[in-house]
Amino acid sequence: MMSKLGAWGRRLFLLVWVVFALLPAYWALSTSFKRQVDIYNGPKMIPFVDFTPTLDAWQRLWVASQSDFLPKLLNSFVFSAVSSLIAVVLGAFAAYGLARFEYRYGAYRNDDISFLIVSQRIMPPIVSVLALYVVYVQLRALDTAWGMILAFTSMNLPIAVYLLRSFFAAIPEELEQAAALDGYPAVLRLVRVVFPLAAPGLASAFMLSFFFAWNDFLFALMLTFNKAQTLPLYISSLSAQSQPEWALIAAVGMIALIPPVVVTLVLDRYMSKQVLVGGVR
Amino acid sequence: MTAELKVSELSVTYGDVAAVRIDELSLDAGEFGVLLGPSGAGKTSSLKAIAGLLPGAAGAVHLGGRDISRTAPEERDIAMCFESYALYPHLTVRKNLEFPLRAPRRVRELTAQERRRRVDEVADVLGLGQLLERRPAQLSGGQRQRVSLGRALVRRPTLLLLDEPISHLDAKLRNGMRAELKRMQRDMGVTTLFATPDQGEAFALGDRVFVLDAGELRQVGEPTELYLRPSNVRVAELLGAPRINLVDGEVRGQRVTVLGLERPAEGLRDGPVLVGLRPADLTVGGHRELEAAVVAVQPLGNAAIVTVKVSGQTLRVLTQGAFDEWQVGDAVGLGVRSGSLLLFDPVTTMCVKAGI
Repeated sequence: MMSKLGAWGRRLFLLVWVVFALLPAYWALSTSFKRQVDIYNGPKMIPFVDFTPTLDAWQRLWVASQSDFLPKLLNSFVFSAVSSLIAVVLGAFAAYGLARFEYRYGAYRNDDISFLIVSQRIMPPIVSVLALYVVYVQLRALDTAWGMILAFTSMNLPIAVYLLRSFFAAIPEELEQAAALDGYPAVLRLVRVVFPLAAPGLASAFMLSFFFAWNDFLFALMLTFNKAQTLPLYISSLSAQSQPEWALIAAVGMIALIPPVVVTLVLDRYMSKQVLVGGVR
Repeated sequence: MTAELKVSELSVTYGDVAAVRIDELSLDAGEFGVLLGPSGAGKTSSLKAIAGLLPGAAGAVHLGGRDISRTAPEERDIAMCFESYALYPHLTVRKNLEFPLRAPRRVRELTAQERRRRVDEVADVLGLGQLLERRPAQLSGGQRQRVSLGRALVRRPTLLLLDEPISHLDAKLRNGMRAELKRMQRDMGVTTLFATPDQGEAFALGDRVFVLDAGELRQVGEPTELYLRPSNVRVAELLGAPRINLVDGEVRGQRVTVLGLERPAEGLRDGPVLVGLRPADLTVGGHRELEAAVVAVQPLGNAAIVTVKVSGQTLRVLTQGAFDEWQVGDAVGLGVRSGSLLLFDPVTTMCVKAGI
């Protein structure tokens, strides 16, 4: 009896949670089908009852897609994916070194170096972005793809290093020694044994990096103005006109939701794996 | 492919602490050597140093006459079974066994078919045929141990290093594995160094035993030789179960007195001496050389360890046959087999006389 009650209680809780989590997304989705007048007349949630749905916003987005929308979507995706990939690969090598070898630069040991790296993220980006702007002017990096990828990579690298270090430290060194005696040189030991075992860490580091870059507004605002602009800036520009285009904003927002969800779904199977179980006693 | 191993001036240091200092250790081609020592003696460090896995190690290692001291571990053609098994958790048993055969230095020597055949062969010998598609996490300890052994054997190494590979198995499995291991090693003729803290394994497996204690080799020899003529107290303690009894004695006028017992001891100077009495060389009941009182009886099935007190000293006695005739508190006679005493210098702990 109690367990049955418990099961129903759990279902009820999950239902409430799902509604809580998905309501904003639904609101945005429904808004994208509304006319301006329905948007401003209080919360209207149920199509055909509360409001008359229209494809107007989606049609306008389709028209705008060639000139404005698609290049920005592509920018966002390429910058996010490439910078995350670089951050994870470079971060993995740094993190592996910090997990396996002992460094000593003056008073700096491994923990200090780790902290130094992660401390790059303590400062709010808004503090550094003005200085970065000046540097980017000198480097002719403003409004370029490589400039944005560089900015995102440098923001993501500290998190990747910090996160991956603990994943590598958890991999027993004897597995690498076994691979050495099995005939594998150092780089292959990493590729064949260490990286597969750190897959959950590599996947989470990639996800965190991707989300950060995908959601970035500040760097894109300061460092781009036209051809390297990203989706968040495009969305923001839609509200900066004579009146905010809420339906259009909602439609773009729905599309902006897709890549992070896909990345999560693809990487989730690596994250939940209990890869380390059973290797050593 | 079998080869002799010669290790000289091997040392391993961790920070400022010297963990291993071995002057010389050599194995003939195809020999089964046992590195016997208590935990913390430096067995694992020694094996890993021979394999080239420890950056803090120094010394010369020759395998088959070739100096491999500066060769990277992946080029040494040495296989090792780790105490932790060190299986690759992300790979199936088949992939684990195949892993050494897919290494860059071997991958071209074998076709996929030959690789498959070699794995099947090893899996067959080790009884892993049903488990090939499983992952290490789905295996029992004994099965993991066999996979680890199979991974070492599948590539037919020049030297096989085994780090306590069977000491964590349950007793029944362990006895089976001992025999199996010995047979496989003979069949393959692979030079083997086997580390264990278990003297029983040293007796059962070793052509020769290397007694390692506190990072140094105390004595090297055939197991029986070490048992009968240990060079010092530590070796006497490490070989033989139950553990050897050590009691204080006295040498005076070419004779040794211990527990009121007197034996000739020619050539020894007068003074205190440490006397080693093996539990198996003592008997209770029968002839009454000494008066003793039973303190405890620990049955072992077909034998028993009877603890007795003689002149204030506690001794362990390994009795054979009917043990239920002894009760705690009984007064019994204690016999000492002639020619079984081991005398040690109490200061240097070196053996000064054996077999009196």
